[in-house]
Amino acid sequence: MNKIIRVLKKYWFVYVLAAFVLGFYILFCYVPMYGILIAFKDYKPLLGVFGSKWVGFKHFYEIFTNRNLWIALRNTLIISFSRLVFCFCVPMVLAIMLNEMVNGPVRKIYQTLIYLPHFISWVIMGGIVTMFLSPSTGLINKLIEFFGGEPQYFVMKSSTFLPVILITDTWKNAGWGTIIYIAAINGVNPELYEAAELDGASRIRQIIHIMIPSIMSMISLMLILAVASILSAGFDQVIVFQNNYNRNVSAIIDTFVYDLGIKGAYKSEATVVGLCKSIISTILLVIADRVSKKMGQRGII
Amino acid sequence: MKNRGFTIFNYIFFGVLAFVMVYPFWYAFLSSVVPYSDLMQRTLPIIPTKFDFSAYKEILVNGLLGDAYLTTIKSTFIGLALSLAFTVSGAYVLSIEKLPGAKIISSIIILTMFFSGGLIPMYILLSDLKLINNFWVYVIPSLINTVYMFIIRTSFTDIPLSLREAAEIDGASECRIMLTIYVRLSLPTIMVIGLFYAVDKWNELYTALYFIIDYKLYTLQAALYNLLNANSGTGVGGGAIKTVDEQVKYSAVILTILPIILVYPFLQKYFTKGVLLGSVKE
Repeated sequence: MNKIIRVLKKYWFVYVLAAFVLGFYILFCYVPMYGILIAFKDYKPLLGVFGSKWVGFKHFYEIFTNRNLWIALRNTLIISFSRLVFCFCVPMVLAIMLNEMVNGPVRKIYQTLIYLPHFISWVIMGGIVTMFLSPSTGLINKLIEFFGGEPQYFVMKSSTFLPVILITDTWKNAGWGTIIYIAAINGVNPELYEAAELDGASRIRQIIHIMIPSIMSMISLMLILAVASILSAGFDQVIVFQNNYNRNVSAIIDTFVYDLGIKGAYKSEATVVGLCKSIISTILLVIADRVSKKMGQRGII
Repeated sequence: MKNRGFTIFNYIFFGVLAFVMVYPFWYAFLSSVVPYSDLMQRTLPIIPTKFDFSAYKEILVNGLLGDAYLTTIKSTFIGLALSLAFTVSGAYVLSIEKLPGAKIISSIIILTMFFSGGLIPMYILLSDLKLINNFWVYVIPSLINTVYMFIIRTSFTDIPLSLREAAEIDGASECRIMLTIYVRLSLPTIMVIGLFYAVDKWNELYTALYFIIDYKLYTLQAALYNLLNANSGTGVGGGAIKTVDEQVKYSAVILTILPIILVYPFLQKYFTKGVLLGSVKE
């Protein structure tokens, strides 16, 4: 008893802070977890989460037989895997190339410029790109016409949606992504390079045999995070390029939930989708983490 | 042994890359100040030929983005202040290893990084709390970013315990220890995190799209989203604005990115530092 009083006397202030912080987490993270129950209920706003009627797996059945869900899942996977293939390595390659440059004012200016797009929101990036690609007034189509081509409705066509997503993703994030790789490269012990140079290894061989293995843990860390978020294809980015003409390829799980539960009134069905997404993402994170640790790299859990 | 050819290639490559990445913003600026007919006379305009600020005037006089600007500035400042207060408090609680119950507190918080209720339960909660279509929805549900909190916690745990012990012997209260030792010594990190919060708030889009109905309460990004999509009819509420001139659109884009472009060059090194702090393993 005395001990408890002593602890409270010493730490009462810390516990007050903790109460505020935990209050926040309980209200905005744990109460919504309780709200997941509506996936198994017929949610009626007037009855609330607690009062709505239990219906078991009815909404699961309904939503899994909804064709649009599978289209959204397919699109999400296509976008996410394309990002992994086309966008994941770009920051790494840029970082290795930047590292070969003398660390002077020119490199500083380059870095400042290529980091910049990261701070511009998707709405603006999307707006600029849409205007750039506009068939009547856009610069790109002016150039195409100048060279005798036909103007293209880039943002209105399904076939050009994915390239637009990948290119704008690289534009926004590739420069910024170099920062952590450059830091990892700077952390490599210079003696390793010197030893390799004495052995007559060329610079390119030094990069392949020393630099890349040394930054492998950073690469695997980024890979784990990418795998864990495979079901989130980037709501902010996709929604600015989404329109009625490309919806067959641009509807992703997040926009599907948004259309269903926020714009529409299918709260229970949308919760089912959100719940499944959350569970699968957590499982993927754990698996990726385990695999990474098995291969001798660091994990994140 | 440096390869000369590669070095030259490297400089040219990054020069071209930097140009390609930044030119669209410059083009947007040109389009906002140069009459459209003039812009099209050359294939790749670089320097403005003559100035025409009528589109800016239209935005400012008609107050096209006025409400959104106010909402965003308000949410950025209020959100920044409250978020920092909560985040620093949380980081301080988590940094005291001797605190009885520390394990339970950190488990409760860490679990939320792996599992969340998702969008719809959040929506229901916010509507129960009367936060739907309410300005405070920009501030309260996003008070603490857990990753940011752990970054500040790491910086707190790097401070030698001997400083705390000395203060304890002098009879300093926990509040005093937190403010005069921990917050003061970690101020650079806290400021970097504040910068991240500010940019997050400034670029806030989906809170408005998800939880705000009234256009008057839209953030700048959401208002801009509607404005840019006004002609194509794909905006969330495309009906608010009928047709919008391209030049007005570009001017709105420039007015929205201006604050970021102006402060970015001076703060770039702090942003870079923030990313590196974030990649430190817990």
